[in-house]
Amino acid sequence: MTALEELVELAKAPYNDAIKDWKEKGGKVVGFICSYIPEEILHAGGILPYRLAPTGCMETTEADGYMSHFNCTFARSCLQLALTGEYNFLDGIVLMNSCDHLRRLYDNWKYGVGSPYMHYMNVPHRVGEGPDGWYRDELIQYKESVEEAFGVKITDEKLASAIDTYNRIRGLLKKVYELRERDRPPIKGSEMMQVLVAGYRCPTEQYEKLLERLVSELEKEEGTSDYHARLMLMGGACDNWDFLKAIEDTGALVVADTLCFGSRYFWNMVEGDGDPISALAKSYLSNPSCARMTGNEPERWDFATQMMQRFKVDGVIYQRLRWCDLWGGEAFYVGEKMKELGLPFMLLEREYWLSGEEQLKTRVQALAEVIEGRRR
Amino acid sequence: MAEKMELLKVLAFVTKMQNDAQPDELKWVGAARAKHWARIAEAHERGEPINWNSFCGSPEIFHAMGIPSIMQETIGVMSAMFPGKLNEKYIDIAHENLIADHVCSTQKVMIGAALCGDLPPPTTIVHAGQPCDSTMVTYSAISHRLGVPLFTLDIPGGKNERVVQYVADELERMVAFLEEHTGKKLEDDRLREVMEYSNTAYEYSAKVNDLTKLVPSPLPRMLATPLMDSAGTPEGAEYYKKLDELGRAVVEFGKGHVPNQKYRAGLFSTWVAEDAALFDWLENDFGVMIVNTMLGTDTSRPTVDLSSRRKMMEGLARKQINAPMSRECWGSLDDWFDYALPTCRDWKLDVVIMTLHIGCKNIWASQKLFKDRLADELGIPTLLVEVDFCDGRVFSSESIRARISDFFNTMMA
Repeated sequence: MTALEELVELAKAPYNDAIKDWKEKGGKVVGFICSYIPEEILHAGGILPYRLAPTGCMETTEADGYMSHFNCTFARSCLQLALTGEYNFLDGIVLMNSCDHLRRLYDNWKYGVGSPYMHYMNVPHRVGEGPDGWYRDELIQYKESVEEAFGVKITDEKLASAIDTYNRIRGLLKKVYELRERDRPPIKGSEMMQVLVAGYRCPTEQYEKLLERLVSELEKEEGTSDYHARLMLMGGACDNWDFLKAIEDTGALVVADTLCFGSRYFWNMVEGDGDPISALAKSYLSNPSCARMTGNEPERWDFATQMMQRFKVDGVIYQRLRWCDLWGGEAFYVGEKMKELGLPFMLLEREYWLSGEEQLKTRVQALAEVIEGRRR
Repeated sequence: MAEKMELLKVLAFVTKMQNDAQPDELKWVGAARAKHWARIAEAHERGEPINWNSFCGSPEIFHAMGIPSIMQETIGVMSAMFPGKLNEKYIDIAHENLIADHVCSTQKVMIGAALCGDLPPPTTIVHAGQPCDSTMVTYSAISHRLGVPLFTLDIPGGKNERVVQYVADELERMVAFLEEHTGKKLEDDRLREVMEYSNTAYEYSAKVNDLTKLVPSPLPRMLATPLMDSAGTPEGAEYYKKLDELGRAVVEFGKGHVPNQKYRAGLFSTWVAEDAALFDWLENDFGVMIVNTMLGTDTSRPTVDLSSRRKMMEGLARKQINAPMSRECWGSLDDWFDYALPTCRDWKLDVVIMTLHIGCKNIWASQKLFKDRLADELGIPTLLVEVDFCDGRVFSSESIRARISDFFNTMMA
């Protein structure tokens, strides 16, 4: 099997063979959501960090009894899988005040599902002197809760080592992305999303080796020029590669993104000498941000335009989950900026699972026609 | 294009007219609101700094600094309550500018009114990082579009001393921001003077709360407390003093505010701004007296220690994190239960009405746990009814009333 095939296989199931193997050897697995929760802390405690991505969830009957049809289907799908036992392999979860939906996901999980270990983080909504210190203290509390719950000691040395490990992974993921800058990218956007999700579903050391092989294999690939438009995805949480595949089935190629499951997750290294917790706090808060961070719109936009230029993007799809107010408000800012930039742009509201595939394709085709019109 | 409307003048005019129409002995009822809007309109006329603040903020610091501040959500509610359907015009403009239709309508009104020029840009925008995502994103977005400096008062969930100290520091950072951009200063003595009025208002507000716990309740429902705008002003203190006097007089008279009170209800969420008669209908047709509301019952706000600036900031921080709606929506559900369960007992509630406003995603996501806990622990039923706080086009008044009717005719029969 190629590295890509192996990674795609890992991504397919929430509870795959890699995790089963880890558990059989006595390993612990802790689920988390959101890119403001550093995996390094769990990793330094010898625990497998597992980012929740409710792959395969197609309906939320049980979860709808707790939440409602006015809550986003990402949160509801996570709860659905928890309520139906799909996440029973988890030894705990760490959630945070990401948004209204995920804040209440914690409460519903606590009362509706339960877990041996549950930790909740309050992450600031802006950066600056005071919030930075608050976030650092939150990381210390998170670290201490892991130590207490799992009887481990997370030393500075272990944390520094975990930071190095994750930095190597960030570097490898960036290398894969850089290959997509080519006129003939060797990997599709939908495949890339599976590579990313696989990283949340296997031990870090296994993932690192697979990524090294992937880079080596893709560097030798000729790549494809069989596409009519290079697209970038912006907006809220999206790990559903079927959504990207539906876009690419129209003949477009997703070459870049600014998603939390995508480039925002790994683009910047964790840097800083000395206290590793301070380094984590500084780096995670200064990463390209989520719309939950107020006042950061210009920085988010700068990151987005850099990605557009770097990946020679022809058009942008701004996708967001229905009922997500954060990205539903951010579109106000982005829409204006896209108008000023003059790059073809489309706003798509979607559910977590792929639905209305034909309508989606029709809309992407319309975007492609606009792009084609600009070329003439 | 429709002619530009000077919204600030309109709001000042309407609130003054409403107050003028009252008999002299009841002029205190609308005085705080009328003075608030008059102050804003006058400052605008004179070209003085004006701030916008979000819901859940304590207004005392703005008063102490002499900066008239508009809590934007009040415009959302007022534009929905007044004739002319201005709310619909503004909401449509917000949607045309890609604000999602499910973002809170109170803030969509702000966006639309600002974009069409009816609402002049402020000097500064200060928004609290509470109680919801909609607040979080809309103030930030409009500040960039208008080119107005923004300060986000970061409020973590939770109510412990660590949070209090952090929010007190945040308030000082907010003051520094306002001083930098408005040229106004916060003097300790002036803050103390304002806080004295605030303390008086809150002390009487606590007495009023106690009166509304009586059976029958002697006072009319309070859908929103004027303290959100007027805490720290003489008229704010006067309002609660008079309300307390009125309540005690009614108690002495031996009657409740509503004859034949059948059910004592708590309204633990927003309401329907466009249907002002909804609660009269509830009283008249079903004998339902609303005795406690999320936005009108201000609790958990101890008198602020005035001995030092730091103590005052800590007191304001406590108010901030316990502000109505933040109290319910911003922390964990356990925090909400800690407030809601004693509230049900203290106010002797027979039923809780939880309007599920489309903007309040956290309330939507709490509905089952909340409803079950109240039923299991207290035997109190909860009516869940879908509404949009400031846009009557989303859920019609007829459908809302039909749902309420069904509930009281069947569940409570």
